[in-house]
Amino acid sequence: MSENSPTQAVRLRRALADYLGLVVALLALVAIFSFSTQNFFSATTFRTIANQIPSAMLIATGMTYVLIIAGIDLSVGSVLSLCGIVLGVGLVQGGLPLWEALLLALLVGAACGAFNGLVSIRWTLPSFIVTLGMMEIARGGAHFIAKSQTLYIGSKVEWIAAWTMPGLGLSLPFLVALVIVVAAQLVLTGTVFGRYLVAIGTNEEAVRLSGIDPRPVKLAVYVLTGLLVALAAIIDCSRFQSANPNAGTGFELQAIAAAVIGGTSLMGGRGSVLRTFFGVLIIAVLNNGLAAVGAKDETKRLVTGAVIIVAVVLDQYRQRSGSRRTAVTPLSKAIRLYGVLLLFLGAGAMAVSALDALLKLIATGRHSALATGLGGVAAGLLVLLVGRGLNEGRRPAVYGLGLLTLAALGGGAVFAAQARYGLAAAALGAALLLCAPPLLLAVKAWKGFR
Amino acid sequence: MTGPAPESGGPPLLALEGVAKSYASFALEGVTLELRRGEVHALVGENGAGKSTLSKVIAGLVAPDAGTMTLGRRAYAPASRKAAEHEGVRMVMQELNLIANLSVAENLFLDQLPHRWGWIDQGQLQAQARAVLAQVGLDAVHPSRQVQTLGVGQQQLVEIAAGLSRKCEVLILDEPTAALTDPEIELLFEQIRLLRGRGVGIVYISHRMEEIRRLADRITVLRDGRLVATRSAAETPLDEIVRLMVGREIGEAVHRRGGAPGPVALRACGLRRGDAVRGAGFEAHHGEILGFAGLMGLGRTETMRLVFGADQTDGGAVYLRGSETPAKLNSPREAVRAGIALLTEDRKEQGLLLGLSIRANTTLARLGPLARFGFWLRREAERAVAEKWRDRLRLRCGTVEQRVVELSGGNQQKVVLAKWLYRDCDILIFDEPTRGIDVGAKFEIYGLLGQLADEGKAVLVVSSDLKELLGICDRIAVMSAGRVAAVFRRGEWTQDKIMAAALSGYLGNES
Repeated sequence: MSENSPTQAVRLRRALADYLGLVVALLALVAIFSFSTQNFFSATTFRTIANQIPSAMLIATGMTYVLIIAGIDLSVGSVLSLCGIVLGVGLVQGGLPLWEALLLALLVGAACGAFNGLVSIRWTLPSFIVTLGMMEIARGGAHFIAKSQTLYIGSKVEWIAAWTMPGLGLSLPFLVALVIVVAAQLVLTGTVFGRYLVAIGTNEEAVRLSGIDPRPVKLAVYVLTGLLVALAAIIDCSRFQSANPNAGTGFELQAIAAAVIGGTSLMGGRGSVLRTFFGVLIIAVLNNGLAAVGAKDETKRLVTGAVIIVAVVLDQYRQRSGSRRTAVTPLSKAIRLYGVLLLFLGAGAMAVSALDALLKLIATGRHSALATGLGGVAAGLLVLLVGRGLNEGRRPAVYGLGLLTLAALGGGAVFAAQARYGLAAAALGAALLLCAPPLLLAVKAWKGFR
Repeated sequence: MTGPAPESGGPPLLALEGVAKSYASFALEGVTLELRRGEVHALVGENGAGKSTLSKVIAGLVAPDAGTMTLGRRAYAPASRKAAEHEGVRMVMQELNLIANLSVAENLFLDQLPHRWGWIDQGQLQAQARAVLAQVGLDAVHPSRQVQTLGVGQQQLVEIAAGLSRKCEVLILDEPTAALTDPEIELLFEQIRLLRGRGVGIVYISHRMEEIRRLADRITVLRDGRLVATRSAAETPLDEIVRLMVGREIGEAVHRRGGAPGPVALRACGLRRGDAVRGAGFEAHHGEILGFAGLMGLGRTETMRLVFGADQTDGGAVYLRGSETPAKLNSPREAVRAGIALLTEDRKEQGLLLGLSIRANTTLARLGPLARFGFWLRREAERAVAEKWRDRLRLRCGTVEQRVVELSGGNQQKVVLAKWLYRDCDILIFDEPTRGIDVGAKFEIYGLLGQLADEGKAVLVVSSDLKELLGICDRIAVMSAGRVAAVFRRGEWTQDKIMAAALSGYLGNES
């Protein structure tokens, strides 16, 4: 197939719009934390993060599937603790061999998922309610079996999390979770099952009237989620060498947050496991970075909450830019794409400035940091608006682009002369490079701008 | 009777000048219209002629793309329904706009509830409501009853009462009698005449010619978004109005050549479900188009859903392709496996995955052959299939990756059709295949239906548009009161016979 066939271009454009924002956001976060603390940017940090997140990755993967079929699973956190307790009790008190105990834990997870699925399908109940019930049942069950005590398991399960890949130092759970994430993404985009998921989430009745029974598909999704949760429970038990009936509290919200940051729709029909993985990464980097900066728990939650909301708002723009009718000429196509690029650049700049100011404030306590931060946010907003205007083919955006170019020129010159803010100068130079050629193109295409 | 003649001198109450509105295609084009004080002005036209759009423009629900309106002597350009109501222009919608779990009184005065310190003054509310309800003869309904406990007809009257209860200079009634019984209709007409006497200008939209005959002072005919003519009701015979509405003989344009039908494809016997379907039976042959006529909402859609297994039957059986044993069709899955397809009445809610691509919609019902090991989808093969059907059905779109939501109604219908043709179903049930589709696309769909029948498929068409059925069908089954009352061949039928059969179930021996 030739390189420039329409679908190839469409797919490329979608992929760009899909992942650009997330990658930029992730890199920006890493950059901020690396610049604001001495010891964040190190292999150790990344290894730590990688070994923290496998259970979150697995749960978020299941959650993404459930959200795609327009459901929700609130029970994941409690089911995780229940599976862990079953594993612990089986090993310690029941004296089961390891593989039997592991199998038992997986079975419990699958059974909880099957219960969620069967009840909500049979009586056509909202999964929100059913899984809310299951959330309490599983938590209660975990406490009941464990008599509300944390169970020490010890070395029997330790090896699972302790094995690391020679060289990179990545743990076995992370590698397993990574393989599952990739596999889940491939299943979602490339298989009949995945297509049914998206179709059911988009319009279940239409699927049924197309002669496809949606019920087994939905059941499979809940069971699969239960299994993934059980796997996450095994990993967590192995990491802590114990099973805690209070484990997994709030995991369901973390998983939903990760999925939402990754652009999954709570209305169903739209989502991507890989993008959810980026959501997990962003949350993890944010948590670790803020900890490295010395932020307290309440600040962490504040920032994480804000990031979720910003992500969802930005996702609205991404969706709209993806759904716009296709541009007529290659030139206007290029301008639109460039608009998207500017849009994300602006959004990134806004987020970076705001976060940077906040971190400085936390670290130094000086309020002057807020002023520079505000300036950065305003500049970012300007870039974002111009980008949006270009993407929508609005003519005033070209003036904005001109102004932006001039500002970048002037600012770059000033900073270069002072030679103090090397980073800022480099950024402005880059902005200039990005601005100038399309401006020329836009002026060239003046007549047929739209 | 036509009542007192409306004053014809002086400025009109409401004047429209060159009003236009377009969605995907033109919905209204350069409509110029005058509404006088104290007249009942009927708007007639086929489905999709622009009646509803026009009335929505007047009522402020839709902003016109071009044209001006004048109310009294002032320019009138309502920004919203509320703004229009403020100027005394009210519309009673075709769809019910009531909040089902609030009381009748609360619905009537929702935007101006009498209150003191934020507490609703129930006494005053009830008294006001009672007065308004009496106007439409709903004395028996207590104002504090929940709307959802009322019948549809009564709900419609409450809606009309809500329109009558406020300042009202122009009242638009969109199919107000669709759900009313005869005594209720009489009450409504009395009200309309009263309002006319008070000088209110009434725009009356209806399909029912005899109502228009009784009520209207003038009649405006719309066709394909254009105003064809405005005539005095008293001086214009009904058949001329109908001729103006249709404009051309649809029957001529798509005449079926009506060859000998093939073997029986599907025989339904005594299908029953609740009150809607009470023992419907019919035979559909390969190579023919069998139409289902009848009044709207009276058992046709329900019957088709039973054949398709979308709903559970209370009784009856379906025999396929001459088989003597009844087919097991308890779910759409089984029906589709047996080669039956249903193109639902509501394609957006029930037929399409709006947010997904044309490709995904086309292949949905039969992904198996496109998957390696029945599992892994081959995207290229999928696209080839989608493109094949796009070309064959002359679907107008960019690429097959385009999302279905971006297509026009006619093209969306073609996507649904592509799905079933690719699924290789040979018994195709079309429920209102041309609803909400512009005229050009309609004829393409007719052409496709004819082609399908010629290829030997059994085509069943449910339509509320009788002219459409007359034009395209080989036989027409007329449904009445949940049964098939009569079946006519091409050449045997007349509009009168069909209407008589449609009404037959409701006359006399109701069992």
